Amino acid sequence: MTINKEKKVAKAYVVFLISLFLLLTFPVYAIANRVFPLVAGLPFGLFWIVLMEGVAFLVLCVFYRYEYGKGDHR
Amino acid sequence: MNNWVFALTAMLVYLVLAFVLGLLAGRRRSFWSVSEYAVADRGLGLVVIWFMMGGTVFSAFSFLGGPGMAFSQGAAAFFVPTYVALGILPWYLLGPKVGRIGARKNFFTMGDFLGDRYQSRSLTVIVGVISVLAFIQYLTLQIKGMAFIFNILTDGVIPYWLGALLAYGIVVIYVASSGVRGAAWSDVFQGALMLVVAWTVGFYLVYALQGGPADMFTSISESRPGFLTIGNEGSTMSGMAYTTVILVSALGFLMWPHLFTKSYTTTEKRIKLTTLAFPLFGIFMVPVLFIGFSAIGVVSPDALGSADEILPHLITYELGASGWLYGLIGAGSLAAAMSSSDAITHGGSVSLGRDVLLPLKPDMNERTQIWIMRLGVVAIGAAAYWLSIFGAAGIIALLVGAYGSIAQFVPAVYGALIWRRATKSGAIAGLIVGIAVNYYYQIVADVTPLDMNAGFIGLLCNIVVFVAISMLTRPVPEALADEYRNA
Repeated sequence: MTINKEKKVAKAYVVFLISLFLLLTFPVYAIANRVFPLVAGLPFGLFWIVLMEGVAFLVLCVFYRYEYGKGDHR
Repeated sequence: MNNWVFALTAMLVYLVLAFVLGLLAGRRRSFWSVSEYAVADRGLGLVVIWFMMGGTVFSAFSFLGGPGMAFSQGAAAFFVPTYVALGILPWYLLGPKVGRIGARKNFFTMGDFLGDRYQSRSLTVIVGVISVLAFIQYLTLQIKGMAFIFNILTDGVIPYWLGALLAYGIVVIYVASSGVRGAAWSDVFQGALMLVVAWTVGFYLVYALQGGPADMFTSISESRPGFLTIGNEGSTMSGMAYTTVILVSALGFLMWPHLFTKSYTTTEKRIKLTTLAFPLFGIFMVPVLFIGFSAIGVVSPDALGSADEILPHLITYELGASGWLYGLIGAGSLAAAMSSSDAITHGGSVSLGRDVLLPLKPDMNERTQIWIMRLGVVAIGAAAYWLSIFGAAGIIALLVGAYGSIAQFVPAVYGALIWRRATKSGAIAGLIVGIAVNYYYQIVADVTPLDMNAGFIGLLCNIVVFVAISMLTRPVPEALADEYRNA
């Protein structure tokens, strides 16, 4: 992997991290901070956390594929 | 057969398996190599590293503290799945950098890393001492958890001191003999067991006591408005407290030396794959909270000595009939406590040998170092055991403070990697101020400004001092700073 590509990944990753932090803490979390509607039996605030973690997992998979997916196995 | 016989049998079978696995893990490896003992010669596989990182997160807290928090504080407990997932994510960038520098310079600990970057042996020792104290506190909590589980599930047949000695004695032996590999391999077994148990018990209780999650949360919300949200009338935590506790726990997570040093145990690719799995670990925590929520309206808070007793209480009074569940819970909760204890005991022994004692006598040979680390396992183990059985009020305040101080390593560690101008005096001054402020708000003062988390206030002061003093003092050689910056 070139230095340039690594820098680009690092920058995008930091943006992803900060967004995730913001989505899970106040003030942004206020939009999810309620009990109803229950989703899959969970209060909305808890469902939101599960949802964000699911999304985070997918985003990480994309990062990983971008870095290692194309035959760059080190 | 009595329930406690089931429980005791299951726990003993489990202990034997964990013991054998832990001992086998170290076979045919060099007994005399510090690198093997401390970081498995930088060669742990993916599944192992995955469970090892995960296992240390699911501690006695998962079966006692987590459910207790859900039961007594409602939505405040949501911070647990949140910080577990967030805490590991920076490792994707941090881990490979730390790992590369460590491999090049032959590092084993966080003290090695900071001491070299800031050219300061005293910084290594400070970090080492705080880490060892924090580890002992962490261990004391786990040992109390194990003893408690043993005692209550066997109907008091196994007394406190014996349960703790049995479970933790086994950990001490396999860690001392097999090093990080012993801890890692037994974690694979413990981690898998614990996850199965947490989910089974969590869902079982919700359906048995409340008729399912939707009914449960609806009735909680009706009887306790605000309890399932943050910062409202009836909530137990303010938005500020919730946000800052997440920030400080998530940032501090990787600063635990036993997790930080896992960067040295494996490859860059495996670090990234491990990170990738962690948001799912956050989701795995949710059924653990179910255990606590399921007791609301069923158990009166007055029936408990402390909220942590909620799971054992439920088992004893609400599920009296099923012996197999008893055994499963016993084994699972022991697994949770032990998989944290082994990694922490190991981390503590390495910190003690490498960061505290080696700088005081730098000409020690490898054989002496390895003996110190292996004996360190026993010493730290004995100290934690003694404290958890007999306690000692004065020491406990010291340890609780050290435990809360781990997050104060954040500025020095990140500073080393991103800021060329960071200096030794800045790092040490920041650390001392951060720890002092944290101690003050955690132990002395009753309230904090704006209801912020004590560690968070410490961190803010820490960063200000770190930056200011660094600007005023002479930087480290440029080549060294660049090496860390560009690693």
